[in-house]
Amino acid sequence: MTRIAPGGTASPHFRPRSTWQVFRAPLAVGLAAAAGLTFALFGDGVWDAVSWVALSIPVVLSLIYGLRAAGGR
Amino acid sequence: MARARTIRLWSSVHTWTSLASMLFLLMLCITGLPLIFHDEIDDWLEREIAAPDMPADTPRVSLDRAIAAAQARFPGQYVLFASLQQSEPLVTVALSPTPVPAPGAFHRVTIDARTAAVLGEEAPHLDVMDIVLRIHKDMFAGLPGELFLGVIGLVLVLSLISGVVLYGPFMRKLAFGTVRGHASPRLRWLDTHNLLGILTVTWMLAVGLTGTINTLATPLFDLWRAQLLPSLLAPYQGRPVAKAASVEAAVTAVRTRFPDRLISSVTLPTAARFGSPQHLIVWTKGRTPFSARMLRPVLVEAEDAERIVSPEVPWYLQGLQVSRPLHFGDYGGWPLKIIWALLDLIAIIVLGSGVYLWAARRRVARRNPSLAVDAGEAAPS
Repeated sequence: MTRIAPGGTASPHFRPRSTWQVFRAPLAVGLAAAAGLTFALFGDGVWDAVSWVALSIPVVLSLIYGLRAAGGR
Repeated sequence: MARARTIRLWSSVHTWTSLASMLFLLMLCITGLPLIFHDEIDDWLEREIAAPDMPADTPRVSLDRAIAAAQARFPGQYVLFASLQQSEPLVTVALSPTPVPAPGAFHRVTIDARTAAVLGEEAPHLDVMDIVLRIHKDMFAGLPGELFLGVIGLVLVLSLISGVVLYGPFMRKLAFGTVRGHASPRLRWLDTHNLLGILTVTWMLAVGLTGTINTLATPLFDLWRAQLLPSLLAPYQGRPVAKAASVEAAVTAVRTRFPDRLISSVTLPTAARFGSPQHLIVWTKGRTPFSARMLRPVLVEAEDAERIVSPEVPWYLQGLQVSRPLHFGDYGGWPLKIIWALLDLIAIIVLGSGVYLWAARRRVARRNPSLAVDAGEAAPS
């Protein structure tokens, strides 16, 4: 576990990450969500199903990480 | 050091935009939750009226007869509009005691489109869902309230953008999804707030922005009328509000001209701001899921159904119409509604944890001012 002191010294084995490294995962989730929001507008059936899957990604990740945080103190 | 200052600036933008809009956003999230399911709740409360079973090919009576049946229920009242339901052979007619209706103060009479029998009528009243909707829409403060909530939506967008900017320095030394659970409740909530916030920011931006656009519906519709009507009404200068010769004739004329479109509703000639004093407005829509949301008004002269004007729908009304489903989440069946509700709940957690973090930081700041700077914690290098 990385522990960051208020002064800003991180544990030595974790190198600061670049902006791309920080934002690539959120960007992927954001694009999936945007696709999900759009797809259901254009059709029913398959389009709806794709939209459900894509827009579930942020919800499922929130649940997974949130539960892990709540359980793993 | 310049970098630390920039981060501090973004941090105060995030803090103050969030705090300023907090209570209203919480209200919108909480009232929005039941509104996602308002169709289902209305069904469950049995507010919806069903047409009696009859063979599918039973012919329909003329719309004029259906409207006359509603009018007979409330003699002397003004017929405002008639909506044609798509899933059932029903026509809902709205009547008002005054030519320009007071907000919400009109009767709705539901007529069987095949027999002109009155199946139900709704007196002007507010039930629970109407009250929830009014709070969500304008807090019972009319257009000013609506526009105020539109501004709150813009403040939310600012808060979201600053939140995304701050996510960078905060996560510089943490892997995606890390929630430092063991350290302190404050750190745990900080990481949870950042994680849930960044995961749902796309949805929150979409719902926030489309919500703001929806608050502009009345001014945008006024703008459209102001651009369209003066030239159309010029020949009728000084004439009183026309009486529609035949609603059925107008609808038939529109159907003939646009065979691929469905008729959604008809606004009768009116002096009120939702119609024209000399025209019937026939609202048409397409047959695909997307085009069914893009209503297109066709104006038919009240006294001569052959004179049809079909104006281009301007970009701002198209934008408004796309914004509606994207705000309501009602365009992808019930699974989408469930997802909408879950995202709404996550938004409530993000809001609540944000307030908690603000309060906790103030507590720390009082005890030890040197540690108070939010950005210092992230220590960008």
